[in-house]
Amino acid sequence: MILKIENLNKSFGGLKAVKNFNLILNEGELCGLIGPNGAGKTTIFNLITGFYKPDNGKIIFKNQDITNLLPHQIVNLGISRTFQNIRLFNNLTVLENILFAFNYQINYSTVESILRTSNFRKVEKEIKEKCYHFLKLFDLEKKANILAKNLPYGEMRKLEIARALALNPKLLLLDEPSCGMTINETSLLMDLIRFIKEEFRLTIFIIEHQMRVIMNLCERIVVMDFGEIIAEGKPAEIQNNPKVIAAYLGREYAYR
Amino acid sequence: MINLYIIKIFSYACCITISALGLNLIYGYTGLFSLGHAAFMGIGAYLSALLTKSFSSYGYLVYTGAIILSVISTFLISYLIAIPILKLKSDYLGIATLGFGIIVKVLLDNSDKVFPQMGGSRGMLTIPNFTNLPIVLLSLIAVILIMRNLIYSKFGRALLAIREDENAAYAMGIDVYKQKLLSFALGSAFAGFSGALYAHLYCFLHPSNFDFLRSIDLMLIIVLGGLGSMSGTIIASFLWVFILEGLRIILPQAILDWRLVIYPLLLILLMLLRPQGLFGNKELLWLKREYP
Amino acid sequence: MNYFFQQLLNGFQLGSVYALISLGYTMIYGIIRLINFAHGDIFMLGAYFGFYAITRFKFNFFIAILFSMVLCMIINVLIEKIAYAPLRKKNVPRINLLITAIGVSFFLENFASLKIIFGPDYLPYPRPFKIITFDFLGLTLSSIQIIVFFITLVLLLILDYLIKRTKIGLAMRAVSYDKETALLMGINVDNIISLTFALGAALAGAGGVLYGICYPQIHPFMGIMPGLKAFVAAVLGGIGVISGAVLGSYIIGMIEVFTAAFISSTFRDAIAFAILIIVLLTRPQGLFGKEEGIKL
Repeated sequence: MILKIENLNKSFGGLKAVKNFNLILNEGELCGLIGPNGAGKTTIFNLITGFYKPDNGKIIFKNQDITNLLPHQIVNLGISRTFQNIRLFNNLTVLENILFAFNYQINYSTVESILRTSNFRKVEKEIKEKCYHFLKLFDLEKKANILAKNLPYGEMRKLEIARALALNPKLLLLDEPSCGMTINETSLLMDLIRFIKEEFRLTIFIIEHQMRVIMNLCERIVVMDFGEIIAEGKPAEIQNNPKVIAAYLGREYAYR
Repeated sequence: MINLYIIKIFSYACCITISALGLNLIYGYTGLFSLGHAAFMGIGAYLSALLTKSFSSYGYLVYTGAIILSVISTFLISYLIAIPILKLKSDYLGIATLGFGIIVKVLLDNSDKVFPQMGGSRGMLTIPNFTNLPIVLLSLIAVILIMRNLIYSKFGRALLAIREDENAAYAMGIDVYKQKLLSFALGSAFAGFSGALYAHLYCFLHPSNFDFLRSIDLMLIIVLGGLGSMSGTIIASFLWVFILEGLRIILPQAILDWRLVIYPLLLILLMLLRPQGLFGNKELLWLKREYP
Repeated sequence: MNYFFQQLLNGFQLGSVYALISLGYTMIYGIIRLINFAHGDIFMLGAYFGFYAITRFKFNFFIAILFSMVLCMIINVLIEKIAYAPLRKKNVPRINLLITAIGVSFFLENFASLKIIFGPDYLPYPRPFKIITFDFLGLTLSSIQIIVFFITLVLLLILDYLIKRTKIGLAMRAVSYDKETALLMGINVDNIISLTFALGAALAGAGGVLYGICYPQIHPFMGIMPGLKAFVAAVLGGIGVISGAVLGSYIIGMIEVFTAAFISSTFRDAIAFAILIIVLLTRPQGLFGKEEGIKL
């Protein structure tokens, strides 16, 4: 068990975005989170990563209560994420985007960076090597000096995922990675996700709208509607669950 | 006579550059909209002048001490101010810093009620003349070096991340608030340093040297030079000082009035024709972005 | 106690002038998110136009106000078309628009200071009507104050009608809410923006004349501080909120007058801004503004 969410609640104004949410993620699994628009999926991600504070409930990561930690503290414990609408550092290069992710692993002091000590130079050199290693791994090294905003869409996603992985997470949260992708790009994305799961041996929690992606990739699927979990299980079970069908297609369709 | 004047103007330009670099760190690199930067210059200037004037017999010893003390004080004061104020974003942050600048100016106007030697709204006179060209030049070089080394390090990268996308910066494990505080305090400390040098250059201080119009001048300089470009700030500072101050001796009185009419027109034209400033975010020579 | 109420009246007078300026600030910010630093200078121009209308052209006082309002409108629309519109079309960063506004402000101040325009000197403002004072419940109310209150009230009512009851007002609100959608609805966004500048300038122009008769001395840099104060008022009330700007102006007017009366006139700017900062820290959207949610 890597992540445990207990009785999580969050409301915005009068709207209950998340209601009594309970979830356990096991180490090494690839778990999907699906549900209609506005079901509260991204809110769950924002709660786990500390961008929102829950009204009540608990989030335990590797036996540590992270409920009230700040986003950067949570990243440092080993949870990283991507965003639904890609959030790269657009006016910076591909290399810099990766470089920034290594920031928190760097340990030299500000004084050392002003004086350019040998330790500073050593650390910077190591980081640079790590960056290029990463870019090579994701087949981006030829584009290292291109501004992130000038990448094709699929590669922006890839860069964002690579950047999240550069943070060396134990748990990776992907928020609709296939959003806005063509069929071809989506297939590449699925390969990429399988690849990183093998390569980095991490737990992945993924929000997805495309059923093809979710059914192919995930070992387990959690379905949300109106802020609550309405179903949970293996892809095959979910596919035939009337509650899920109802949530997606409206009640009429399910019982026809 | 002319030479002496040019040396003064040049030294003044160095002071302005140091202060503008500080503002570029705050706004250009971190994206914190600050319209009260001149106030920190004023704090540094008055504090150091108060010290050197009170202990003038110690000469350069007290001058050095006063400068170091003003840098540390402006760092601490701006850090404390920033703790509440940096909770505000964009325009609101600008308004709050502008307000801070005006409050500081009013306090300086009334400073003679507590410290008569500060002169209040009559201005502070007979400050010992310690600052000279080698000192400002060395200071400027040191500041450029420090800033360059900071920008191309972990700290500078954190600031750029914050400027580009605050939420993504959080997701990169960057302690956004703390880095913002540090950036603001460090940039303000540059201003304090510049103020302390300035005080002992002209030997006369007046609160209006540090009012909100001066803060706006600094903002103009960094936007003209290019936000996030040290080269741009340095060149824009010198151009600005020499065009505005330097022309005063060259132009006859009749055209002099027009100087201040043409200058804003140029400004408007530049904003339209070169919105990214003279340099954009490009750098010259060894200020160029260095990859690790 | 009487002194207190007398100051209240003075605060009301100052607040009225601020209200006329700050409405322009708040409307322009609402519509293009620009802190229009040149707005205080439009107010200055208004004061000068009124001055010349009364002294040179011997206009009736009310005609002089109208004259000043119309000229300010024309000038502000021209400024918008020449300086801001090209920038907006180029989609440059917001800071460029702000710097341009500062440039316009510098230009107006220094251009007005030229000897061939208004000249750099302080001019005494004429009082085109007799100053009569009334004793009202032990307070002294002068004809100046009555005229200021009356004109402010009339202008506010007209503005309120324009914004709430006419198609133009509806279009203005639509544009400030969402420019793209307004465009799709067939609203001519450029015209609405020009109109907002015109309305703001008209009010500032009237404010300039009223300021002139209240505090009878004008000079080319007179717009800076009242402009800033009116801006503070707009932010205090919640920038973009019309009623907020008016209430904010009266609050700032009161604060200023009471600080001058009971503490020291040298501290009034500092106290106005200190209160603004405190309000911003506790309610960033201003006293009457709506809270904006965070988006991820």
